[in-house]
Amino acid sequence: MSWILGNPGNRVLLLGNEAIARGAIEAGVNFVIGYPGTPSSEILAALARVADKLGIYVNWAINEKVALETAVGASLSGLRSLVTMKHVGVNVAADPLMTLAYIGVIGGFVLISADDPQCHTSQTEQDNRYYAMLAKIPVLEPTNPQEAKDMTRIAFSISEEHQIPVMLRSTPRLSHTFGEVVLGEITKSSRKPSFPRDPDRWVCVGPTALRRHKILEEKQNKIKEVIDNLDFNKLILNNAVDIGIITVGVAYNYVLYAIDKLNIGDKVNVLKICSSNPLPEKNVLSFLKRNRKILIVEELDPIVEKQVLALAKKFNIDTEIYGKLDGFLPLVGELNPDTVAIAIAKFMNIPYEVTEKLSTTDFSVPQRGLAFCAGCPHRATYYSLRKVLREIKKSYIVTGDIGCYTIGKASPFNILDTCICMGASISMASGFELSKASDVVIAVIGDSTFLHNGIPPLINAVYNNSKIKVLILDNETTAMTGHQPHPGTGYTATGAKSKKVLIEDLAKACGVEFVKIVDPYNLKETQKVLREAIEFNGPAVVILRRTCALLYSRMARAKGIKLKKYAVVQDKCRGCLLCIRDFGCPAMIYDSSTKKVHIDPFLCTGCGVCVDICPFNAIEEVGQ
Amino acid sequence: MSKTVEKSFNVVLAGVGGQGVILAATILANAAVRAGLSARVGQTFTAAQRIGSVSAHVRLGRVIHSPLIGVGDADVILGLEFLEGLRYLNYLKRGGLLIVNTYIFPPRQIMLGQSKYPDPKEVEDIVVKKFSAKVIKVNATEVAKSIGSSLLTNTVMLGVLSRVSGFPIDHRYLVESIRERSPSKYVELNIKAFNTGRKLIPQL
Repeated sequence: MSWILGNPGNRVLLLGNEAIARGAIEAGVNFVIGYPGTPSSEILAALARVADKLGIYVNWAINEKVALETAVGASLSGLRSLVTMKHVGVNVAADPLMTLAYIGVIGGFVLISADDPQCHTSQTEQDNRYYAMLAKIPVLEPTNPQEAKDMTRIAFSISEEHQIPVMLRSTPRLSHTFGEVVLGEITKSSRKPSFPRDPDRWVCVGPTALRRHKILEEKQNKIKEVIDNLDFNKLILNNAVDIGIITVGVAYNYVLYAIDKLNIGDKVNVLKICSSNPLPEKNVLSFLKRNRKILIVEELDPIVEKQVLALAKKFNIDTEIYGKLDGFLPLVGELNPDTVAIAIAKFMNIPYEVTEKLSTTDFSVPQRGLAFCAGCPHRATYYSLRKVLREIKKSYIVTGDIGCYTIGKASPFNILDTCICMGASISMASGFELSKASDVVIAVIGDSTFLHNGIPPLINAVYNNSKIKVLILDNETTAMTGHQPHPGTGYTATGAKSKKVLIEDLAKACGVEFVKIVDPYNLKETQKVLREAIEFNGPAVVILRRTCALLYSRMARAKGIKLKKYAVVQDKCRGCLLCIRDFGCPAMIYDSSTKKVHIDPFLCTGCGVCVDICPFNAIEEVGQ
Repeated sequence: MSKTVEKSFNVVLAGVGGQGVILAATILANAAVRAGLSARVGQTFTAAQRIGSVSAHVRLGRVIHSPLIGVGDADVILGLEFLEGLRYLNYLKRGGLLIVNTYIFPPRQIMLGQSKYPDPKEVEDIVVKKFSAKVIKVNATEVAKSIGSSLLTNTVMLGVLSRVSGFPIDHRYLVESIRERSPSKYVELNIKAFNTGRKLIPQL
């Protein structure tokens, strides 16, 4: 991915996340750390690929709190530090973030919060701009990859100059949007780390904390002025027009699209601002004064809208202000060119229907439900778990967690009862178990998620004498976000070797007496161990260890190892469909003309588990 | 402010996870940038890495802002898989073009008899009558296999797309883009697939 190291002046296609990475490189970033989470993961991954070349530190942390705190250490040593995470990751990192705003930073400190309007790949669509308000730190909101790069760069300067962490807020329509970017100069950093010892600042308690809070408040006006003067605030004015739209970040794109589509380019003024905290007040005030009515278009919560309403009240301006609070735009879900066009048409009192919205109601295209990849070890695990749970004739609850294995909620397994956040499977299981809500309580969690936030709840389960059964689905990678390494893999983000932390050792050290490791591809053994764990009188941990099938096939291909192949012996197949209905392997294709199943050799990864589930022994290995 | 949506070339690419929808979109956008145009790709995928529905909005033109296309504004829908090509038909503009691969990856519910395939005849009728649109069916996966791998389906389809009237990029930029963005082992095969795709349909 050499293009993120392209020469200044080059115009290249970059993913929003790559543009953020380039912005950090241009700013001379020294230290990069984060935890994978869609849509943020490609930022750190892009930097990891060039880390050695640039001589910067890049690595994944065990979770977002640890990532942020580690970066605080680097920043206090004078290094420019970047921390990346998804929006819910900031929940985990919120504790240090609040205090960091008080003590302030030395080396520029930029926190990327990648929000997820529409919950494309998340459990909430929370608006993290509230965290910037809560911590009283500035948040920059880029519109496109070019601004993502430029704002990341400037975020470091603002942070360093005002000794305050700066948040950059992204969404999938920025992070996962490709667009052209003109590259800027790369700052070659030769910073020598040096920590200015000052316990009256860095030991933030009591009177020190109160004094630092005062300093933080005193910074606010200066930062407001900086934000107000940034070129990223853009104004489009039409003479004699007194109707306007205020927008921020990615929503600006949809506003321009809608104006174009509605053909009202000469009938409306537009102010695009680059931050909702602090609000660029001078820009907003003068826009308020020149327009008789205003529509506010922003992604997620009406944060700008509420501030503009307050500002109008304070300055006694009677401009009409519309937005999400009065239903012009939806509070739920992400914006798109159509929702924005509908809102603007209504605001401008011009007729507009989505006339072309035809067709898909005329015939239905069957949905593709969520499914595990062919060869996924989780499929085998859930197949065994469901079998055992049906056999034991006891009531049960299965708590789930965040990862690929959350797909166990979907057909054909329909096995998960809960999923709220990283690590919650284990603590919630304890809650159910201690409440005696069912005979058996099982927690399902992945390897990376266990390391992220599963260890304290496991210790707690032991301490509280909660007899939960914890299944750690160890596919030896952080699969869902794109196969990032973690401490259990024994290597780092840049591919360097590191000490391998063993999950079984951790489980034992937590005080769990029943810790067993099985290969989920071995159905018989897995089912035996699951039964033992359920019968065990105390908390039990079963580690189901088998490399992610996608990762394994990729590694095998790279190393020239041929994967095993399987086929259905057509004479033996009775078309019972068990392999599709109960096992759900996508490599199994039913041919309605022959009424038999065959295996797609391209999709099959050669796990061979289907051999053991076919009731007619119709599946055989066919060589490579 | 001048009108730009009409002047941009908008394509919805759709397929199944693993078919290389995003790579194809990236190759397109990268070729546009090489040709001095502006480009945006907005992507949509689910938590499933394989087998799920994947789509990308690609917008090419002199000035492009939105990464997403509005409903009814796509010049072309490029379906790398038959059903996925139909899924986003509401994005097609009147007089637009549906280019769809005949390859079908059957959803589980169809194989289990819980759901039915849309009737191709009926679909074509709707596309032609309601959208005044054209349908081009290509057996891109078969062609890709004959070149070397079904993995080349995406570049075969790009070859077909490059023959559409109003397509704003010279094919040489696409070849350069394939060279730059596809995995090094597959560069020559992808170029071959692209050139084969160009010959599958006459210039439109």
